[in-house]
Amino acid sequence: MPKVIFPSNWQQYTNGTKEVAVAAGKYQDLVVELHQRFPALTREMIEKHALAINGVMILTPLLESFEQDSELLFVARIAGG
Amino acid sequence: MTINVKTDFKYVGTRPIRPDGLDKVTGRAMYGADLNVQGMIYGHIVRSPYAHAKIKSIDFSEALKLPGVLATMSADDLPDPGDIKIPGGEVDFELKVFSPIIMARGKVFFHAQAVAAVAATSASLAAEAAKLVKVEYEILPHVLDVHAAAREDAPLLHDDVFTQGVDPVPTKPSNVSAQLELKMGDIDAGFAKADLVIERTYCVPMCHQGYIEPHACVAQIDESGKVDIWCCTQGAFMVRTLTSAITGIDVGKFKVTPSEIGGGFGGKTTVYIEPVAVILAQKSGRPVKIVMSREDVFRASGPVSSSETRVKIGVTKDGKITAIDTDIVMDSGAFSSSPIFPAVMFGSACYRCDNIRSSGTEVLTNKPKVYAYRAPGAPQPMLAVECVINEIAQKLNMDPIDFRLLNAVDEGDVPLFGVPFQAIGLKTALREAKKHPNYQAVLKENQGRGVGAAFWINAGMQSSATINVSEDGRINVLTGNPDIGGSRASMALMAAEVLGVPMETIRPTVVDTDSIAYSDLTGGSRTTLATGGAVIKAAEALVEELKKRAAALWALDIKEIEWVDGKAVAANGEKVFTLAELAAKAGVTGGPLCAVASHNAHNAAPSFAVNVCDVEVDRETGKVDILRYTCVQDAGKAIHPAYVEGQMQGGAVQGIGWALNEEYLFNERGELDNAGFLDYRIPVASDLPMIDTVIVEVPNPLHPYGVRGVGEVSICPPMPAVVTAVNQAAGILVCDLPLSPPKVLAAIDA
Amino acid sequence: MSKQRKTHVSTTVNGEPCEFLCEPTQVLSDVLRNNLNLTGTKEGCNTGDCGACSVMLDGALVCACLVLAVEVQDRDIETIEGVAKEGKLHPIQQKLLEHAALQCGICTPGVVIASKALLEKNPDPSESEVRYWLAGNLCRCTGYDKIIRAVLDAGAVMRGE
Repeated sequence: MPKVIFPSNWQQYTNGTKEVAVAAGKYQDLVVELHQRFPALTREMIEKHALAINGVMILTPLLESFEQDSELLFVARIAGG
Repeated sequence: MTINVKTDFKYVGTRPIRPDGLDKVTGRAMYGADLNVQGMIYGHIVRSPYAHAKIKSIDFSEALKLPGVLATMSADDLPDPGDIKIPGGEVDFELKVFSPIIMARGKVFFHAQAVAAVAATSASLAAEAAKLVKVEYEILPHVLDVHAAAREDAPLLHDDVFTQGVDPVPTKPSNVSAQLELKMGDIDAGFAKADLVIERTYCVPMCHQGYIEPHACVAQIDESGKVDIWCCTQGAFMVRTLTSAITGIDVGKFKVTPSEIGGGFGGKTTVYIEPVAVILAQKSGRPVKIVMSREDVFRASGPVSSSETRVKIGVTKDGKITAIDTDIVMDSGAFSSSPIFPAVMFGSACYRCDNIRSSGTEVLTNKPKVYAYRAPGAPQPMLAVECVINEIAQKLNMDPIDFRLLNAVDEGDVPLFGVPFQAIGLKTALREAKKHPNYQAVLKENQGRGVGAAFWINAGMQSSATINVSEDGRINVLTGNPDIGGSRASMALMAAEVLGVPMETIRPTVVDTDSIAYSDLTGGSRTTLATGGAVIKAAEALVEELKKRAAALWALDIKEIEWVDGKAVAANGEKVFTLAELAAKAGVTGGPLCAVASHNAHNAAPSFAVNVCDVEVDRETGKVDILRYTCVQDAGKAIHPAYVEGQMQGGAVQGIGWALNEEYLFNERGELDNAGFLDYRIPVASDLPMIDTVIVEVPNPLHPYGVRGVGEVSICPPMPAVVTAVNQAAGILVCDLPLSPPKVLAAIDA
Repeated sequence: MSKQRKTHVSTTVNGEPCEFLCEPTQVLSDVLRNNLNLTGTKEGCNTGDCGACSVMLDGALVCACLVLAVEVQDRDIETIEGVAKEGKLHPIQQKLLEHAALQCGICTPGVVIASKALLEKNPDPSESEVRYWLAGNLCRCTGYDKIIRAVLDAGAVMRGE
């Protein structure tokens, strides 16, 4: 199952959970699943972040899907100059 | 994920003259303030004389009595922003932190905030009319210092700002607008393993991007409601998005034409005057021009967060970093807009360390809202981290570059922000810096040397490109990204590379928002990577089309056609069509030749840079002279090396300015006391030596040409390199920037 | 102010006779740009600090934003538009291009005018002389390195080296 690693500042919303295996194979399902499992983690909070899939940062991951062995990581979206 | 990265180039990596060069050395190039149109009138913005006040009333009657005054406006002419969010390329915008910068709504939060505007038949008349606008204020207590603003009893700026990032969300509003903490490993255990711990606090003042061209625009509206804007901006589509949201006029009614842009550095990634010109044009029925004065540019656009960074680093006696702990406080001005997230995420990104904690606090004060500046948020914490690293290396009797090599991140390492590094060039850059002749130069009395290393993440995002072929085989490459530093040259080089034709046959053009598909703005070091990526894709599609046309003419299968050096070739070279020949036959082989490409580039990769600075300090005056300066930077692939060097040199000198001279000086009333280039002193030619450069090329494994992006990381290493050099030269430890002569002298005499 | 009459001025711009009407408070840079449509002269500050509006007035290098337009009656003005002659760039223009010594290009017209003035006065300046001469021409993009090299190189070309 894909593995999600939470940013450390999200652990206040995930009861200290640092990483979870998820059933979702697509980004949109992932958002729903994470919010269901950790209600304090709102959809808005999740969707404000970029997603790194196996180390490749994707600012707009809406239509992304991932593999069983994918490592997923949420990262704050950063504006450049 | 990796792709085939091209390594053998014919045109990419050469240094041709830029395609827009002739217009720029002859004065023909048209910048923001250079357009005058038929029937044009002039807008002038009325600004707040107070740092914090309620607007009780605005009376335009006296102004309107002047013959030639044709329109007035205030926030009443703009829709209430409510809680509307505008999708932005990099991050979403909250309308309520943008709209009040265009026109204050009910309250002013900083001195010189826009309150009203007038338009009149001449610029001098508009200025005169602006003086006759009567605004009645109820003055409120203001707060300028971040620590004072963070206190419970501080004058509150906004009653709808609750500290973000705290769980549960506070119920009491606060000037502390955001807090953030990231951790990895066990920070206490890390320090327990350390043999040496150094803790310092470095302060960086508020500064300005300092572009030489003031913001300028012309807006006109036709009888059908179509809005035309001409302006200097880093992103015409950004102007369209924001001006539409702020004015409430449908986005589809806008056409934005970007002029040439006279510098931006992040400061032209938003709007200040365009919505005002649009409303005044709407109300007067005339084209309206607004040009900001230099004073207004300093007072009401741009500035960059000041910061206070406490950093504590632990190392073993053999030089391994065991813990990095940072707290950074940033002044965001009157609205939440500071780069506190990247500041917290990236400060320690150059170093491999298991135990890192980093926290950030954004505070609102009655100062202008800050905005992006080259690698936003990175230079401030990196100053603190790098200076402490230099101090540690010195205490351990280690060479500062060797110390960094021992601790530098490399492929596979995971930084605090979590995304593991792929192939990166930090160690290569460090080695190049160490073997540079400047690093071997012997220092004399009162001279010092400092090293700084830095990281920046770089962006990808949305870009598009169109390529059209004329009947004689010349190529037009159209993109939607304003050329802020030579990007036309790099677009043309990449197209030349794919098409196999000389760059001189390619004309790259930056077009308006009606003439190309959406592109995110020129910023985030993304243009060469993402817009260049779209150009490569479009050129590749064009080559396929050209092969198809040749195949049709020869009655061969397309698989039998090769594209070699700008020619379709078949039958072992027996059959040849040049691009020009195929272009001449386009009408009979399927019609005009063109190709379009667009993408959302997910292939950005980080850049690293290392700077070495040698200075001499005059012990009698405190003046600092830069003796030698060396920049080493990983470009991935330098498409046009001269313009890559230019980014490195320009970033270095901006950082030198920030380290030595530049700072915003507010008086107790919250007015900026140095709102001009005489007193806000950016580096001039006589302040500097030549800036030596070494380009490192560790290809980005995700980009077809290995490009990373070069614009931003260059501003990060100079501050620590300069500050360390000055402190070493003078035998002092000043951590409060800028290191201006009086401050250096006071420390020497202490 | 708005009721003040405009003043008629006759002058010479880039060798050609020129007349304009201006308000008494208008500065030369404003008139060049907005009355005469010579927008190659740039305005970065209007306080004489940035050098983007550098022009030659009777052979002297001045900031056009510090000259009142009414002062140029019967004077001789040279602007960036007059530097390239007969379809040929001046060596300083050519060298700025070859050295990639401009990024945004807003300071470039002023740098061209100021450098040309230097090289006409001092055909073989040292690096330090170029740096001090151009200290009044702000450039925020380049860090000056390539500009200085271009000026030194243009000097060599003009000396026939």
